[in-house]
Amino acid sequence: MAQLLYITPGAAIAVAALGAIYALGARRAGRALGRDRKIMFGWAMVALLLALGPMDAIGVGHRFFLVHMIEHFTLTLIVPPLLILATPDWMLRPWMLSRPLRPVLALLTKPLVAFLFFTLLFVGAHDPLILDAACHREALRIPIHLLFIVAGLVMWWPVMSPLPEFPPLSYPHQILYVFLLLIPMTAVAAPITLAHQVLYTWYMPAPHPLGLTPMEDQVLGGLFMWIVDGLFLMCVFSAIFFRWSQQEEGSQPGPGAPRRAQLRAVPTPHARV
Amino acid sequence: MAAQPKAIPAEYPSYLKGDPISWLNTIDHKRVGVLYGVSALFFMMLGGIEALLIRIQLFEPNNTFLSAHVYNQVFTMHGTTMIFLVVMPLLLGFAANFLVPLQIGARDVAFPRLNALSFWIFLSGAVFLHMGWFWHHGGLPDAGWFGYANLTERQYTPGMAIDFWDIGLLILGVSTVMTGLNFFTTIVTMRAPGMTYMRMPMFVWSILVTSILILLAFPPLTVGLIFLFMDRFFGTHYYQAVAGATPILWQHLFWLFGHPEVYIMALPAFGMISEIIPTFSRKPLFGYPMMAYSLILIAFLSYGVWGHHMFATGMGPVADATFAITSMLIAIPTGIKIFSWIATVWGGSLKMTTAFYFALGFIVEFTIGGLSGIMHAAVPIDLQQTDSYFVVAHFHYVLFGGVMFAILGAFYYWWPKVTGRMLSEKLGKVQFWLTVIGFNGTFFPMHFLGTWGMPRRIYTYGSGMGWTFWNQFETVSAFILGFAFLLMFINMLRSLRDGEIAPADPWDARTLEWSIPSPPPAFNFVTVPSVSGRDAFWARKYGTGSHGAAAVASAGDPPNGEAEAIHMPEPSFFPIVLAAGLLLCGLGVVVAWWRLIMAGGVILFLSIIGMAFQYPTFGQHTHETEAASGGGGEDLRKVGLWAFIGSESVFFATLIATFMVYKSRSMGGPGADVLEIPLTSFSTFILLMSSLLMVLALAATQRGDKTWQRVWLAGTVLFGLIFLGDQAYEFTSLYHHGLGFTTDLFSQCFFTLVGFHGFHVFIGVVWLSVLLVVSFMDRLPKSRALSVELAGLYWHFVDIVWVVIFTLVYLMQKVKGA
Repeated sequence: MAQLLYITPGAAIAVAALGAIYALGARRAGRALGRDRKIMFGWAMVALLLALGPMDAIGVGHRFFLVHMIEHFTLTLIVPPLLILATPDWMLRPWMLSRPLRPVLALLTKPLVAFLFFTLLFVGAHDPLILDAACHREALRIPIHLLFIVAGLVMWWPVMSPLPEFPPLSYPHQILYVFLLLIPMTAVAAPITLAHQVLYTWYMPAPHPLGLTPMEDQVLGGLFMWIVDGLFLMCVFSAIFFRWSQQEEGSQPGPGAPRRAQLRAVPTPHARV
Repeated sequence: MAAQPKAIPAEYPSYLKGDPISWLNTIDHKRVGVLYGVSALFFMMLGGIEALLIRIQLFEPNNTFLSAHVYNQVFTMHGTTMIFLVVMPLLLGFAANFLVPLQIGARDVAFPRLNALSFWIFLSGAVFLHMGWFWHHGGLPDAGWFGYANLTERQYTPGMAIDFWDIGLLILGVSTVMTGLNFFTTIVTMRAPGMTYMRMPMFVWSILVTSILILLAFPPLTVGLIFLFMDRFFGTHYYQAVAGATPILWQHLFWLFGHPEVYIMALPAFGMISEIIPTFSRKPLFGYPMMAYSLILIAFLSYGVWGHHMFATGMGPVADATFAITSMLIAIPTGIKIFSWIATVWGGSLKMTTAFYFALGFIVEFTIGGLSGIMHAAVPIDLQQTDSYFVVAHFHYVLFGGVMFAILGAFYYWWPKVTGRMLSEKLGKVQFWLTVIGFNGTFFPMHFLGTWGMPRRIYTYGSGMGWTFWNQFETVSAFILGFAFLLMFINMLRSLRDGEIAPADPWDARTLEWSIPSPPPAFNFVTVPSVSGRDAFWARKYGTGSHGAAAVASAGDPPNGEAEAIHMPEPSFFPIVLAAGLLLCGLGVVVAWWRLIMAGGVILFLSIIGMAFQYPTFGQHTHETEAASGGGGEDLRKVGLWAFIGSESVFFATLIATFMVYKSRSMGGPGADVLEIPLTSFSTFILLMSSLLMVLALAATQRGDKTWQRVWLAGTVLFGLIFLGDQAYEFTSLYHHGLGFTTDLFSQCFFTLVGFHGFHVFIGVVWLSVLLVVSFMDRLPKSRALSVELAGLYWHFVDIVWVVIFTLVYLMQKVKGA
């Protein structure tokens, strides 16, 4: 149980550094962050601490593959969107538009580049060779996990960008983008779930914390990635869709139909116009 | 070959007018649609006769009406015909082709010639499937419409039938992907001004989602069929356990296509019902956003459920559970649709026409099919039902009770628009009741028979099984059903001969196609309508009162003489010639007659070149659609190319995934050890540099700098050629090191993947060479920079694929080997 409270120095440093940057950014701009953003940031930090601390300790240290996959899920799909939500455009603008960074970011935030960047990193990091190496050496694992957050930020940018200078995609394109993200997710998750042998040598030497066999653990991990990541993406594009449809409904001229009008038929007319 | 602008004639002749020859070179979307429709009706008769043959054979126990061998052919062709040659061409080829441009207020589809090409390729594929008939060793395909490996391998099914099936489906797949690409681009770029996505008719929504499904779902089938082709012709072992491969791979590939395919057939049917029900209930569609959303949700989920066709293959309890959960989830969006339709009918002032009858019948019958579908999602039940008649009952309730009822409803609904004549409502209602009786009588007892253990695909059964009565009942019902279809044909012929002349808007309908005459003129709309709400035509007729949205569209018929000049693209004979070349080529492959392959290849090549130079871009700039583009503002060729690249990505992803799975199962052979990293690194560098040159070529074109445009284009071509030369050298050297194409599982996957990429580079080189020629002809000025940009997009895509291949196939293998 003590593992649940385990905070690695790396995680603590990451959180402290991010928090300092966040506070300093707000101070320098001299503007108030607002309660909602602070809460978002707080949640992002909690998720980050949990992921890099206890999840990493259990998932890698105690060889619990499922938890390692939950850690990846948190780092790519939970922390980055929270961070983007927590950060106002005025905080990002000065440094994102600065001289050396702007061209790089302009390229990275292009949807296609963002998609490929995330896909390659996500697929590559789950290759047995690399994942095993990362489990063996913390010096490799920490950069990969931090890179996951960066890749997540890049990947979510076309959907959530607060900066008009690097604008988000239009709603229908956002839906298509999230839809296509399913392909790399499935391409990683399906082979792990359906594999007939243990793919990652790191997870071979049981004892497993819950007494699962390495094979069962691997299937659960693959399944988590497949189902939960998939459902998560589904929820995201559902949210986008309804925001889109509301926006378009609102843009229709006229007073707007009362809900009940949909239940009433139009009587047969006497004359056609 | 540029189209001449022509003034609008004082009276608009219907699109049907014209001499018979003009049907062969037509590129009018309505005519192409009618061609699809007529062919599909012919194949519907064929498939129907096959169905009746099946029922006659099963009428009594130990029947000898058909031999087992013939029975296999009949049920295989019944399935293949009904899915690929009847339902898909009717929904996409006919209905979508005819209706989508009319409903979005466009004058044609985005790529009219590609559309005609789709049809002719479809027809040659359909003919190809049946060609085995004419050969002594042929016969029709007999391995089931799903063609499970390894039954389809040469040693288990010799003869040409499976070759015809394999290549025929490949040809049909090409046609379908082109259609999907065309509709996707049409809907994205060519909507009338003001028609946002949320104002599109629901049928257009369904075709948009279906097009995306087609683009992403057909590549796995193509890859599976290519593997089968290689197994049968080149002696590879993609589906044979002897080499370490697994026949289950076919099932994964086939159902990864096959389940989205179910929705490719069902979604347009949903769209049709969503048009018919509001019209005859005289109410707007209930829950429009939810209806659109559920279409997307179904499409999203359909990629995660293919395994429920494979519960019996032993995937293990966890994978089974996964697929069970995802499959059950699909019931949610489908339920949304059912309830929304019911809510649309509720409280409406109903006009009980034949079309509406069929739409209501659809709701009932499809719901029954959906319920038995949920039963299949439960693994323990499914294991009992697999390969029994219960499954046959289920998918006929979905495909006939669902899709076919929708098609019949749509047939009665849109027939006046297509032909300008009314059908007999009286005869239609007789047909409806006979269809309901015949359909339920044929397929409902199959639930019982399946539960009692009668397996599918058996050609006869013993008399002591207790299955005789219901089989006889089904056969009688099937003939009632056949008679109902006969009534439909009679109704059609009577209507064509002396049916009542149809007004423009016989049903008092809601969407734009009813605002123009029946049958429509060749250019559809005299002035492109502008739209400011849903149900644009309804709003124009009744003003704002209907559902709150003030939707007033522009007048449909301005006085003669005031109209703008309408540019329509020129007809072309190239599509039909190209399709004939493809047919000859395929035939030559199957009968192993090289001269025929050569002849077909020459025709194919010449007609492609002919088409490329006929394209108005290189002539006068007259594509009529420019005026009508109210959609995204993106150029339609760019959107089309992106859609193509999306589809190609799935193709390569499937090849790469197969490589990754199979490389570790490879037995014997030198494997990855003989790959040469230094040489390939050089190739990679060359290809990346060529991408850079391509960027420079585009920049030069955009500047209008002819000299550098030619230099950079020539450089890109040269680097592409160096890459191909390297690859040829590499393949030869690998061969000398003992790594032949069929040496082991690794080598066959390697050569297929890398070879297909090389083929794409070759296509790119040809494309760029054509541009270079055009540039030397001084016909590639600044204003045509888009042509260079498109070639560049394709070229960069091919490069990115290479980077992935280089990393996964070369570098990773070496690292692992070390």
